[in-house]
Amino acid sequence: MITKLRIQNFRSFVDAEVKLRPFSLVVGANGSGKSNLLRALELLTFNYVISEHPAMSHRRRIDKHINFPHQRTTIKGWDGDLGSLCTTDDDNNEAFFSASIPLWIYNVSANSVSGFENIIASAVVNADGSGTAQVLESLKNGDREDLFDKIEEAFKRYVPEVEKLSLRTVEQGKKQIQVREKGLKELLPATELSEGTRIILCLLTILHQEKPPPIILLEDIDSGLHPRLFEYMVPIMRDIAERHGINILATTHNPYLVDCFQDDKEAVIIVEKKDGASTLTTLADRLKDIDYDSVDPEDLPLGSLWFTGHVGGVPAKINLRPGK
Amino acid sequence: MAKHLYILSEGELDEMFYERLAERVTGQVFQSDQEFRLRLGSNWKSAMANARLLISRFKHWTAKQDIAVIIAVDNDRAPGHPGGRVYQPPLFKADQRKEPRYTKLAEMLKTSLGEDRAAWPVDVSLAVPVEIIESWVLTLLDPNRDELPAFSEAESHSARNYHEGKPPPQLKDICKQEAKAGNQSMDELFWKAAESDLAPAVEAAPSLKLFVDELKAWT
Repeated sequence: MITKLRIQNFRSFVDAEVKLRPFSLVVGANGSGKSNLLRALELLTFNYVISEHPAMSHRRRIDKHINFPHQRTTIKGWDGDLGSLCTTDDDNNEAFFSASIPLWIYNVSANSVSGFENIIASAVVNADGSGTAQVLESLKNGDREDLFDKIEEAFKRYVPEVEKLSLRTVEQGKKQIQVREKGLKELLPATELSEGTRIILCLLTILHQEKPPPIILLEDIDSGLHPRLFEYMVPIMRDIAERHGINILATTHNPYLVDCFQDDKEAVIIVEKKDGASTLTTLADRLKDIDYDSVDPEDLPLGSLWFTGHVGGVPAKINLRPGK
Repeated sequence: MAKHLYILSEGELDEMFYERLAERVTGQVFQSDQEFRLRLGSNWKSAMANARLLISRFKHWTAKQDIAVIIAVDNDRAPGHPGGRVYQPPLFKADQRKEPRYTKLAEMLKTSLGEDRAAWPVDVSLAVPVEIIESWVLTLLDPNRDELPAFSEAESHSARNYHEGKPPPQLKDICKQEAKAGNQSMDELFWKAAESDLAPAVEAAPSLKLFVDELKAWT
């Protein structure tokens, strides 16, 4: 697990460093560099495990960013005190994978998890969450039923209403996820499950693929999730990351999600532009600059604190003056 | 170098309005590159906590800074405003129980920055319109109009209850009507109000006078 990251001369970053927690939440205005942070982590992580990954043969040189035509791009990660995990360097053509191919940046849509899917060999969960049924099917009926059982066990732990997870044949060669819930006679197709439940199942499936990603990067995690689910999702994500020794990073614009990090303020990363370059800091660091202890957190929860602008990471001023 | 202006308010429209009034009263031009925005639906406790947190940035400073602060919170019929109104028949219990907002904010400033306003490291003004910002907008547009309504919208439960089910148009409703009649956007209406003659409006609205007097004290 990466515990510290430094990015130099990559996309919108000139030189930024930040600590990572097992599950980190990334906030900031649109265009601040949140997605670039995820890309940097993806590159770093891919490079670190490059020899173990089947896509190695497709590695390509990273495109130089227009901002840095002459500078060396470096992305470094640390695992505790173990020192540098990886340095990627655009002087070394073979060591840098193209940033244009998203591998582990998931923008999971609940709808992508619930449809009918063709049964294929060598299934993987795709960036939008599609392929979940394919992976579950290949685990269940391949020789990795142990992994399917682990997914089902974890799914039942996280969603206590679930009694059994299975797949139904909807037509020849096509299957759909279904669930038996406690107290219900009929099996529920995935389309009947809540969006949060589908996303949890997708995440568990991503983790329990035969070749699970070493990092899970989630764009706009709150998209499609009811805010009431956040309090429920955050501990699950944290638990998953800690159990598996991986990083999960999720971007959001939702203050309700930030509210859920009252006990782990180090885990909220604020991305913002200063003089055109993206910077990284944690909410915990920003709180050192203000007297947050002087207010009751119930009057001013962390999400409101961020939204109001006390800790940065908010959009630039919109000028409404006529003629402006 | 222009002075920095921090405004704690509910939105860009309010911010534009208060900033323009500050420019006109003080004759200064400000850099307003950092803004503080109350979350929609924030209650008074949240607004007070935000105000306290914003002011706490300056409480340990001793030298005068090139910073000015406007804290804008609607009075929302809270009793005890020195420029406020008394309503008959009695308002909701919820309104009667509200803390005096202007007074509480002024107390907080003194506790944080000291009793002597002249020694404060930053200039501060409290914008606490009686009853909401639209009250000041309407007064500026026409200081001679009849007494303004007390509520935000006629559709609100409190307005319907107060007026026994048949409330006349309330403050936001009137602003919308005037904007529509003048073929203006709300931005344009607020801007026009902020550009209006201040003197008669200040005479007509004691809460606006308090704000303007505090702006006049800025150095």
